[in-house]
Amino acid sequence: MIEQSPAFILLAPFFTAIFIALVGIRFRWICFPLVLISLTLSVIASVCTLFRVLDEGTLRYFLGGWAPPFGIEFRIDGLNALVAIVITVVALITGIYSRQRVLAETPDKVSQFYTLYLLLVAGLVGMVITGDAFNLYVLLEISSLTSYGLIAMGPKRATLATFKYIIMGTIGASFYLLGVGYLYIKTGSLNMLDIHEQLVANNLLGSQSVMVAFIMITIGVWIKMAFFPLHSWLPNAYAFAPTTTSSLLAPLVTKVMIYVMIRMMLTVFGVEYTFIQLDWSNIVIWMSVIAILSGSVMALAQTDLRKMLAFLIIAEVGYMVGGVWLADQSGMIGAIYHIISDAFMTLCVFLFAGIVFAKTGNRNINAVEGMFKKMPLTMMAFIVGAFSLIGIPPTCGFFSKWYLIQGGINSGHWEFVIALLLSSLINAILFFRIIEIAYFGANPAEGHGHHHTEEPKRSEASPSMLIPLLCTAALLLAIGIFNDPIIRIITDFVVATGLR
Amino acid sequence: MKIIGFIAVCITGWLLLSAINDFPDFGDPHSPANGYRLSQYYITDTFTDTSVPNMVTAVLADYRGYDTLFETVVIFTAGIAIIGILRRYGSSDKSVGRSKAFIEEPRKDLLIHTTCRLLIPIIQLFALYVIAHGHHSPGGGFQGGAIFGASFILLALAHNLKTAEKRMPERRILTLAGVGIFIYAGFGLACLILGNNFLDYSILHKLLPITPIEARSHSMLGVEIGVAFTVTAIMFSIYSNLVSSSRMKEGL
Amino acid sequence: MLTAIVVGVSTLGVGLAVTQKLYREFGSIEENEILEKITSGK
Repeated sequence: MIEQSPAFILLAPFFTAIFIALVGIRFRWICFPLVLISLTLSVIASVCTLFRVLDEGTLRYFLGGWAPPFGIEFRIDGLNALVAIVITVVALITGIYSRQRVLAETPDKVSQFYTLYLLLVAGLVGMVITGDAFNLYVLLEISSLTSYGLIAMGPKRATLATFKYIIMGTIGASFYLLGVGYLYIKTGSLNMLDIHEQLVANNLLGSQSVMVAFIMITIGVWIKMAFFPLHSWLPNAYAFAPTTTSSLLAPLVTKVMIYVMIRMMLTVFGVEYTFIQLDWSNIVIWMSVIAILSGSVMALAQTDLRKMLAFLIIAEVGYMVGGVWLADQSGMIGAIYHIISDAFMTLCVFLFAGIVFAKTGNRNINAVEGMFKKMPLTMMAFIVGAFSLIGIPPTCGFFSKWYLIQGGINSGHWEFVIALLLSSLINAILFFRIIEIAYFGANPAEGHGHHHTEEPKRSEASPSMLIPLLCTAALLLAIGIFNDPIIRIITDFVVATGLR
Repeated sequence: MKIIGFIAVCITGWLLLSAINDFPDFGDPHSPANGYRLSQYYITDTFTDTSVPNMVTAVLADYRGYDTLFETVVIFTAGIAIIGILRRYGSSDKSVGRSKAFIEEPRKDLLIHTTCRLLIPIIQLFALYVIAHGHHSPGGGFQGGAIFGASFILLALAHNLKTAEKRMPERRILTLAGVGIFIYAGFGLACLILGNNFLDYSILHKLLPITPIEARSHSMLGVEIGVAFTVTAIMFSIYSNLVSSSRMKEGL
Repeated sequence: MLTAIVVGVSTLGVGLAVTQKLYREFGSIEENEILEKITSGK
């Protein structure tokens, strides 16, 4: 059974989703336990897969027993295995967290919600483990359709945001598909590795259509990951979606798309082509500098807590795109490590925002007023997440930034280094403002006059929301402190691609 | 805003057209997509591998069956998402919509009713033929399912949504859709339990008195039936939800 | 080809559903009017 582990990562949530759609309407209570069981199975399968990859090297799983390029394969190396674990763990944590919020926000659509939730997880995992460029598109569509549905279940304004997302998302996916179509015309193959071999063997790398394919795929993926000038769909969609939805989408969707970009650049087109033959690093790094700075500055202007965090995601996307395009080993390691750490830190702060919203019913930043007294544990977890986003050791955000900055210095892109440092500074301002409000109150100057006679009572969020948050904070510290094995896996992958 | 959009469209179009010179000629038998070992293999080896004469079906349901499974799931997802977006359980909203008499009374038009009575059985029969004959001629689960779903939509158009709902209530729709995917994925899971990879149908010869190659062909039929279930149900579900704003009461 | 049809049907269906919900909630499908309603704080 162990040799089937790659399939189980995807099949566990997939089968459960269909099962919930069948029986969940009649037996509403069955949904939540089933979600937990299936996601736990998926986590176990993905961890098994990682250990197998470490033992045996790259895993190949032929679906239907047909060897590629005739059939479809799962092709799992260190990079996919890590990202798959991140997805399943984040989904499991959000799954536990979802229990109350789903009943509160979409009480009549629980079974539809969980069906779409699990299908989204299956789609994201499928995108990560597949080795076929076209299969990636099919699963991309599944993950986008499910996220449209999940976001549109939110309150009024979410609907408008969803409509924007549908238009942008469809354009992005179509661009990706056009790129794959161009590659198919030139190579006659859809398997990622086989496309690369054909491109090299037939000396096609110089041709115009391969370049067009590269541009189309890159722009399509950029739209999907909300890279700066193409980001307009993201802030509202994540800010107004139901709590659980945004805590699942925000950490995962953009990161998976960055994984897709790395996979396309390194595996399909190859390091030689992307970084040496095309040599667009300078332009893209300047774009990512603009993305980082404008994302941070726009976050500074927000008063809505979740919208502010959504703009931070745009800045983080800039970090990773820049890090990948540095064409430098430590930059690439930093970007990949940042996928992992950013998924968890985004999860942490979004879970916090969800708890604040659930407790106060208020989206504004001022809602955190007095939280230190009322919910000390929640605030501690939030501080860990905030420190990680700022980049303070020993949280994992520090180490990924360290590698990114090292990459910037090695490749001589000082503008990237400066943007990273500036954005860390802005993050520090943002989060210390929140911590200040939580500790001293929104208007400390006014508060001096009259003393609060009664101490606010301690009332933590319910365990089903608090425990996931604490777990995430612990994970942030753990990934930071035990970064060595993770960095080693990533380094092995990066070295194998031939990047120096 | 419109000008920016126009410029973006022009640039994209120019970019796509700029690579045209580089393409192989239209219909060139030696172009990579036609001449490369992939197509050659499908053309020459499909029948010996799977005993299915229609190689399109074989590529669809066997060589790339995993893709097709998820295409079915795409349709299923759309159906669930539409219900999730539009449905408001429990709230009876009468502000929007037509009068009750209009909704409940079936339209009486002898000509249309009789034509439907004659046509619908033929459409459904043809749909079954398209599903069942997918291996041998163009057709298969998606096409047959779409035709079958269309017959219910015709019923709803000719009478009203309520009449069609009686034949295909919502609960049955969801059950059919879920069961369809379970049939497809169940074939895959059965292969996995028996010891082969997911969707590797050849191992199913252990369950039936047939050779492994025939097992592939028969499983393909089973898979197509599963697809047809889902597509039929979701086609009608999408129509009825959109047309009645998910109140399931009126319709055209 | 098949994928194009399948994805086209699905995306169109979901898009139409969202449009209907927009109309139900804002009473309009014109982006300008909806934005006006949002900014006027309704």
